[in-house]
Amino acid sequence: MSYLDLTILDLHKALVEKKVTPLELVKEAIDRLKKDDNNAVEYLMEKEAIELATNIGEIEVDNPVWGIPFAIKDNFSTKDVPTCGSSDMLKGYVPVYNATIVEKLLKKKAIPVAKVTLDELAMGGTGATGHLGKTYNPYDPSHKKMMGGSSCGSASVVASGIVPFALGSDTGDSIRKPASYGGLVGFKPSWGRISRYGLFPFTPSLDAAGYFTRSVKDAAMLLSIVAGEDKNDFTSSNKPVENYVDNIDKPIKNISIAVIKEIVESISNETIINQFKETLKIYQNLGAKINYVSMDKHLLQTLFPTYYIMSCSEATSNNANLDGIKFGPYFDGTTYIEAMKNARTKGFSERIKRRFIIGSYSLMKENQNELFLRAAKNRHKIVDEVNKILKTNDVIFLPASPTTAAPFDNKVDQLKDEYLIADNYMVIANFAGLPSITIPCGFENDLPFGFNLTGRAFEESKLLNIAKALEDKLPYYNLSVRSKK
Amino acid sequence: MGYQATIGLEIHVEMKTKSKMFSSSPVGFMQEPNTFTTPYDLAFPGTMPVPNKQAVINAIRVCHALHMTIDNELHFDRKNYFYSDLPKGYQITQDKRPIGRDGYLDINGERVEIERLHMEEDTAKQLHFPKFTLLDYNRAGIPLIEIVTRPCIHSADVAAKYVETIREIVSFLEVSDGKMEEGQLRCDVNVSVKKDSDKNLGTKVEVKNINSFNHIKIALEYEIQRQIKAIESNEKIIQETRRYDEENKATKSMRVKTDSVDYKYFPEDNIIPIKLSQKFIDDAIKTSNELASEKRVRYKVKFNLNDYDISIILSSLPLANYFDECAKKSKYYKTIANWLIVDIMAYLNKNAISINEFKITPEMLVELINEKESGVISNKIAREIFAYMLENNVNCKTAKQRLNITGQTSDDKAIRDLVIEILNNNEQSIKDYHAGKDRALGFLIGQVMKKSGGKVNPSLTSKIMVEELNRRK
Repeated sequence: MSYLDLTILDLHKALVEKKVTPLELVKEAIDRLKKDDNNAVEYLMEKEAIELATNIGEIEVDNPVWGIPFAIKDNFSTKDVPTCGSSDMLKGYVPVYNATIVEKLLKKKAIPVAKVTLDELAMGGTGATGHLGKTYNPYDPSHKKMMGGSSCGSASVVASGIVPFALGSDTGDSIRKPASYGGLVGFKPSWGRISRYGLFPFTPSLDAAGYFTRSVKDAAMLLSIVAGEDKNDFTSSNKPVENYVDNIDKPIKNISIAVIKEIVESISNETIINQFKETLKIYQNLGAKINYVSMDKHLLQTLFPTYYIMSCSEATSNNANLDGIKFGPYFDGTTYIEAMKNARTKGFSERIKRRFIIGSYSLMKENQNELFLRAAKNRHKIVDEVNKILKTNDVIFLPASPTTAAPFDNKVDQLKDEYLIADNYMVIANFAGLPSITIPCGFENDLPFGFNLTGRAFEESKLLNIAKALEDKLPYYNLSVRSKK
Repeated sequence: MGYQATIGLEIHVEMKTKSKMFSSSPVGFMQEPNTFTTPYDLAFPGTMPVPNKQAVINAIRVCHALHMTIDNELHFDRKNYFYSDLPKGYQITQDKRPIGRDGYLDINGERVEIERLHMEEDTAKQLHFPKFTLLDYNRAGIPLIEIVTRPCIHSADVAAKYVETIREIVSFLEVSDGKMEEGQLRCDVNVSVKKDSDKNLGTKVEVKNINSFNHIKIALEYEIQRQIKAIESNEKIIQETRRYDEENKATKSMRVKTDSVDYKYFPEDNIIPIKLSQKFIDDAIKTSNELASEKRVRYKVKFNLNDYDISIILSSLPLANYFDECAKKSKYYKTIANWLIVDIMAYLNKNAISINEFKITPEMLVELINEKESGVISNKIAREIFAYMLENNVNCKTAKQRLNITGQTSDDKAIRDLVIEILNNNEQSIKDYHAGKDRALGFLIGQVMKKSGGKVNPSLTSKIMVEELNRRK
């Protein structure tokens, strides 16, 4: 086993004890990236990473990310490093500034080694729609199973054991769903907890920056580093950043855990349901109270359409700068309108154009009331219901996905509750701006699956504490394809 | 048959804040293209808007000057459309909740109703060449306020005066220099004409591209006449956008308006609604500059200046500031006004400089005026000193020393000696005076002045002269 296979905090120990150097780690990570066959890489930062590792200076004992290699989802702006959002529209675009989350990690001397794939412009959940094609799930060497998305590349490289953590973004469940398919810890904190400056916007009121790790403690430690108010992001919270590791091992006695009945009931996979019941027992044994609560099934069925209308509408506007004049490839035209039409027709994939058309249609004056505004109103209704549950419960606990990683050619009935509810409910955390974490909880046919915990806004400390309590009782700490073998 | 024109105006004012509406980029006018920008202004993916506090304060002040209701919460929306000068493909503006609503201005005794005032960001500037267009992003993101009237104006005169008053307000509040020629104040006009007997308004025509105050009235008068003529010859008025053609002093059709554009407005979620406390609003108003209209009343009531003088002093903020500085240090308001309007303006015009570049400070001018008014120096000497101050850039005291002016004598004994000397040599004038010829007194005083080289206090001399004359009855 290589040091690179460790979690961040264990790796930090090895660095402090000088068992390994950042340069060795970076070289090995690059080597693994080159050998990796999961199509997860947009841009290999070989030169940049080796230079950073070479000039890193003395070990910083109190800085757990010092010299730690990591990967960045390619929708975070990175100065002088190509960033295309896995879209041909931004092929060759080299940003002039770093996203705040990247900047904070660079300041702490963590070392980015790669920009990794996503569903085109983060719009998608399969990890198959980026301009480089499918990103594969390392748990399925036959390359038939999806990684899930949109943060497919980030999930893939962490699950492969190439890096101990990777940045992702989450608008509906884009971190937490692939985390389930990849047996990873996938964490999106409260809206406003981490600056979004430099994250390519998809749906600003839902977007959150977050990351994948292989332990809950790593996730807690990272949050203390990357959270905080940012003068460049007006929506970033000025609530003080805590030391999220401090309370991570507190006993969880008397904690109230809510389970939404209708969501569990919409899942048909028995392995997942049985394992879910097992984990509930674990929580009970730890002294937590389990409360089965109810949510209106009809309201749950509106989660996906509400999300889809909101996100498509905002996406049309957020990507309107990609018009072939300011950004994107230039395809001639006799007028500016023609040039823009050409660029947007040829630059975006059909899937993206479909979303833009739906979004545009929803925003039209004659449709706004019926679609966009109705979705916005419904969102508030959902948020009210969820906050009611969280008033008397500390967290909501549910399976993160109704199945393990689905095959790429999966045909799902999108009108069935299993899809409408169980496969899409995690957007609740985005609607309400709540911190939400997926942790690995089981396997079926060698494919992992995870469960999700969603807590009250800005109560990350408690959420991580509850997640860690379960992680401690399960054999999935530092899970990766390598550690599993 | 009588006709009535109905006019509505939309005015965009570019603010001269230090930084842009939503970015930290400095605001610079007439600078090297694309040097006053940040990644946000160029719509780099991932950049986010951060609202400019000073722009909000400015908007509050203008709202107050226009008697508007000021919203207690700030909301921003996106206006979506594709255009080559629009970096993001949308403009952040205030659609549903403008910061100001329902105001008015009284112009020539008529009330101009103002529907709304909102903040937004400017677009990039396009420089068109025969085969290509260049974009200058220095302008992109400069804070704008848009002020929209109701269609309630019925004459070109009032419309022009209204725009002039808006310019005066924004420039006295130091929100903008309001130079139309430089696009800092832009004005779109909607005009329709109907027969007096008609109940409904006529078809609305928009006139754009009016880029000087003088053109507003000309353009409107032309457009009103054009529409009247069209109605009289039974032509249909087309709903269209016209532009003002400076050369021909006429409006020319630009494009026919079909269905209005759907801007698909929706809230800007990157800026959460901002509560404006009453204190914040009150402070913005309290710390705001005095308006020209307030100065006008003060100059008239407190300083007793005439309308002409007031209009000259208020023709620009720097001039008014200069006057106010002087008026703080001297109560001879009329004299200050005279010097400012006659001597100083003549000098500024001759040298083609502004009052900001004028070397004689208010303190220096006041020192001179106070000496003259208290009778220490004569008007003639004061002007000599002024000329010297201008030429040599020195203060009054130094000028006097160098010119060897000791000042007017108010020494009773010295003047009396001079008076007696003159009287001794002008027996005939004494007789004339006692015979009731008033001219004789003036002649005698003139002689004293001449002899002294203008250095005696005229009123004191006059008093002593009368005393001495009466002695020789």
